[in-house]
Amino acid sequence: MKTIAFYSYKGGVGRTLLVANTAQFLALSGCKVVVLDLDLEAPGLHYKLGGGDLVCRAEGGQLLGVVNFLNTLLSQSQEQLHLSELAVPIGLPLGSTGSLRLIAAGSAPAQSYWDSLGLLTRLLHEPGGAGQLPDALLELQAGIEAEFLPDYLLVDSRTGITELGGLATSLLADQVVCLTHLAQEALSGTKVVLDALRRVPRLQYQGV
Amino acid sequence: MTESLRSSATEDELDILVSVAIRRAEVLAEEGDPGTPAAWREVRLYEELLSRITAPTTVEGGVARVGAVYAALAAGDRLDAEELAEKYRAEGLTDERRARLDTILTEDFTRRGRRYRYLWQTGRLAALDDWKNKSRTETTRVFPLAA
Repeated sequence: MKTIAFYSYKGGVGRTLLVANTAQFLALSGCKVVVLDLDLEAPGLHYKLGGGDLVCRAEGGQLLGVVNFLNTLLSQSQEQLHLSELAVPIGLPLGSTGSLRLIAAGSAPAQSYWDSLGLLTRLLHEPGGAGQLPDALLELQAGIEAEFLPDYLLVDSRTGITELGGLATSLLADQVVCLTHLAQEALSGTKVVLDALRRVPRLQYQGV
Repeated sequence: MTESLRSSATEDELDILVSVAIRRAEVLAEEGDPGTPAAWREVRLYEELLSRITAPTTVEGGVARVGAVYAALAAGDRLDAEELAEKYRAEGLTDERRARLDTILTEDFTRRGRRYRYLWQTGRLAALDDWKNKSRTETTRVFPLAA
């Protein structure tokens, strides 16, 4: 499985749309693809990929996603979510040999999503809480690989310089697609991020 | 109790403080109280102070050092626990205490393996610990956690 994170220092560059289009292109080309929405503060992939039914599920608070998974893991709940409860199969044209699954951030814009995101924020601000975020994200990635055996995992990452964006682009990703527009502040910020990504230590899997 | 008072406390006084702190941490843990990690950090503080005034080869010194590592693990500060364990091994713990340190570190690793079962199954938990250690020593931190 190859993990590709899509990142932009500033918003409004078409990053989420590019993730959705790339995912569909790869799936239509015969690849098994999972798409992961880690833009937790402004999630949108389920709008781009899921169509009306998925948006209705989200509006009704019925769409489980990354936030729910992280909350159960970090709160050490006895009832862990299975990844099959999160991954929504996205329809492809008849005859397509690939597959596409979406793991949304959760039920945004329903209030229950923001409540769950608030809980996640509190868990991460507890002493030692933030230190568990890498473990939980890698667990999610490893679970996706084990359960769905995808060729590609595409990650829609948060803008700006954030913990989650940093982990998505440095810990999870084999490759990063970095988008920017040409405003000076966007170029300067993007350069800072790219310089940082060249320096960060990479995960060295042992015996895998 | 202020830091200076804690630092000047005698072994007997620290024994009392650590006993009370352990009981408190255990009660909070049983209740699932969010203050549990902080309570274990207090235990660790007293155990570390005890370790400074006791020789590693004595019973008291060995118990304090193992207790400090245990408390760090219980607080969720695993990297700190490993650093402490390395330091105490270098100080010259007895074989029995060394074995005890190995046991509690292994038990913690196994416990994490039950929680992060996919990482455990693919052998990535150890790789993650290594990555965290390397990340912790990075001097330039553009990303708050990742760099």
